[in-house]
Amino acid sequence: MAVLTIGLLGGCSNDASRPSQLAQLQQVIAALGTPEPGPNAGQIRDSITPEVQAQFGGAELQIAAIEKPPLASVLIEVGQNGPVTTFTTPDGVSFGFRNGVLVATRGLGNDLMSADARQTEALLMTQGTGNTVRIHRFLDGQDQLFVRSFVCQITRAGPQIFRETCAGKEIQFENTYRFDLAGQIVSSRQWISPERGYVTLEDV
Amino acid sequence: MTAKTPPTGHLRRSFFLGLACLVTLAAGPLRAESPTLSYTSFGTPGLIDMPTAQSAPDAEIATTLSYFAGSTRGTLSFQITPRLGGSFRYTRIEDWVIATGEETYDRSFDLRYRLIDEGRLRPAVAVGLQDFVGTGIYSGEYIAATKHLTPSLAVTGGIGWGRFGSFDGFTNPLGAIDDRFETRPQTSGTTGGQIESTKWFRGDAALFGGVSWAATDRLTLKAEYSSDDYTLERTQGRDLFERTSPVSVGMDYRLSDGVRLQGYVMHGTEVGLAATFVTNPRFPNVDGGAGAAPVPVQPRTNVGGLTASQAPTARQQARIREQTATLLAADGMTLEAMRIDARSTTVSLRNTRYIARAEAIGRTARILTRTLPASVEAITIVPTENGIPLSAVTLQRSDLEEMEFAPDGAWQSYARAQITDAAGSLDEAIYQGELYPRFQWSVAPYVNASYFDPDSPVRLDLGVAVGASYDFAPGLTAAGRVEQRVVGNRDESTRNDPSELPRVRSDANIYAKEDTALKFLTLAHYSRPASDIYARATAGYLETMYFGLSTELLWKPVASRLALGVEVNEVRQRDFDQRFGLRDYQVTTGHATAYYDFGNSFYGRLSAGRYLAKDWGATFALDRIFANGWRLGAYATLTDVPFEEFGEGSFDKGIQIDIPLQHFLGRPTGRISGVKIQPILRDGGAQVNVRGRLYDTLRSYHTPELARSWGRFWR
Repeated sequence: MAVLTIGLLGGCSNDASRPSQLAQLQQVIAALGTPEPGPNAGQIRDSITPEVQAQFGGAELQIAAIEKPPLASVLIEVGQNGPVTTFTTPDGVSFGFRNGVLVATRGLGNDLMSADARQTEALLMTQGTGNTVRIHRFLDGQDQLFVRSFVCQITRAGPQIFRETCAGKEIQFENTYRFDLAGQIVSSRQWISPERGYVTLEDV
Repeated sequence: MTAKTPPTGHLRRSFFLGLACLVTLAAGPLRAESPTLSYTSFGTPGLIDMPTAQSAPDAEIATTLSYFAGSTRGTLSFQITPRLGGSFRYTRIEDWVIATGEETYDRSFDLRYRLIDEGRLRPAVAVGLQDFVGTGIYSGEYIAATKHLTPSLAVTGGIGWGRFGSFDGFTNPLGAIDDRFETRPQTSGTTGGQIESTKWFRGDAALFGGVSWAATDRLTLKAEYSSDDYTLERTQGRDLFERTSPVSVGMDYRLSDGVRLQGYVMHGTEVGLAATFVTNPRFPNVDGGAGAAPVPVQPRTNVGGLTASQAPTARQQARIREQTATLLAADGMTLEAMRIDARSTTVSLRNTRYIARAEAIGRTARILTRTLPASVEAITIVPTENGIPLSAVTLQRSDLEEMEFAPDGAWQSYARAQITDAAGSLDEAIYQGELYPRFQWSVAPYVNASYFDPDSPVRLDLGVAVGASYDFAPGLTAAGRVEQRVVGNRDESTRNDPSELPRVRSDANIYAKEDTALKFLTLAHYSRPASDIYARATAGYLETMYFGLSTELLWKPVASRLALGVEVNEVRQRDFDQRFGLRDYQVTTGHATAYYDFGNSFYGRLSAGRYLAKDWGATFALDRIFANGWRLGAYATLTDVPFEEFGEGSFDKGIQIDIPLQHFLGRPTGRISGVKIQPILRDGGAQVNVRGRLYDTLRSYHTPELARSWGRFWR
């Protein structure tokens, strides 16, 4: 005869750092049910009145929508480190931008850990066209970083719209950037990772 | 939605799959798998009964349940390395005992190795040993070659011995080397479990072969010419089935990435069924995890503060500690202690959430850029467990500011981090008041299972466990646990396997009879007597069966692959009633242990000393531990107890599997479910089970292992 023991997860406890099993079970049940669809980007935009903006302390806001799964949220500026601005959703997903170009995401899963897109940034800042190289880093299932590099072509797609078509090993993506008359990126659709696809961003 | 909360939306969703128990090991995406690869009714990569030269994807874990002509097999297979695969199988065969018609239960282990990779013209070639430590019912050896004619069509041919050479066999061609190959000796001994290397590749050989065709993405069709005559199953008196043809056909249907169903028509007319549940520790549900974003670095703008030469006042320090503790708690960690000087700080940390230890350190570092005065440049983070510091990671704040978004920031931050021994690093730190003393309790359901009892191969208890602990001071904790069975049948076991040794483990079923059981009640003390040295003393009701004192000393320099430990236990057997009483049996056990991190995720352990039955010997263990928390390992203990005296199985051996819950959840949780499979629990080579042994608590905070998760430093 032999013994095999399966340690079950903790139940209730007075230790706040260990979520109770009941709470975890509730999450299981919630996840198995059909999740309530969140508001879409349009609904969020309509609801951001000046009063709402004031609730966020006047911080800069954006609206982000991802496609896999289709979810949208407001983004609040929470950090500035050198040229990189970090925006976060209220539920803990963050996006880092350098000169309007997405260089990091956190909290989505299958995140973009870093992107070296300096050549793209330089061209976009002057609203120029041409070829660039991008180097992106992702985490694999064993927490090892791996690199994907892309060769991109930036073309003008409209009066204030630029398109960046990138190709790397087995992966292609196409980012678009829309500028205002002052030369700032006001909305864009940028690629995150193979699993997460694109995020659409617009200033409020 | 209320008027006050605008619909800010959400980008996160709880990621979910199953609960972790043996069968639901099946989950998670599988990648880069050959479409022609499937599992046999023996739960090994191959055709229907016959193996192929294919290996499963590296690290794949497959649990197969199959039924065919009175034989029910449960097999756990693991692709140990890209070339080496292993299996453990538990089989029930009906009508086995000819005199009584009773069934038999059999355990078997396999190993297989791919010698040659498939090339453009060259086939893959593998050699395998089936049931090489067991009673030998399934024992057989083979060499198989597999070649893909198209990506979806694979052809296999092979030569087998033993069971694989039982149909249409011919004189062993290896006889050309030595005549002894021509006869296969009988199984030696009666207890099984011995490595029967004198039988390997001996006796008649036979040829087998088959094809595997991936008809669609989900459906694979298989046909084989079997060289297994099922002689034992068809012996007169058993007559489990009639074999009318050596040809079997089957199909494998992929219900989902993790679940495969199989149906066979075997040996003419018999129908066989199988289900295989597959998972792979290398492919969690969400790469990198879906845990919430970290707090971003806050670079210093207060240039004046940079020149401050005085430490903050006590009041300022208290505020800094409070802010740091709050932010750490929001990230699922606990501030243990903190020391703030003018230019440096030391922060000690409890991390129960992030299995990727580097992520815990990276998050803490980012939080500190928000709470520390601008003058503080050197940040030392000291992870602790059981109240003792495990390592000290020193980071320069200006590096954090510089590298947060650097393309190669993870590697650069590792290169610039100093990782040193942490003994004494908290000497002048101020501990968080609410931590010591602190009382904690928990109430949780539990499941206990006993496996492999021939009267009932699976027994389960379900109940409620009450746990409590009291931390007196850093490193000094009292803890206990009581289990109350609600339903279950582990108390119904009436087995009384005779043992020639003191009954140090074989009475496990008597201990399981009590509905209410004190599982442990201990006072434990952990300390750092010197650099590189860790110490533990645990006294009380150590485990279900033993009371006493356990002491341990471990030498482990922070950057060493090698660790050396000694453990001495003075224990006395507990009463069967699982209360406070003791029995007469008393023993001193002790071991000297060497631990080695081979790199490439393999860890070895060699331990020598005296075991519970007063036998002397050594334990060998090899684990593959993944950076994401999975562990698959096997161990064997050989002592001076002769195999005959040990009894069934000949020596103690087993498998350990640790399953991190975050693999299925996506978001980080430190919880790991441990499953230990001991095919036969006997009295030889048994050790006392003490909680909180040192090596596994500190290993992951030391290099080189800490480096393996450093990719998550900036996660």
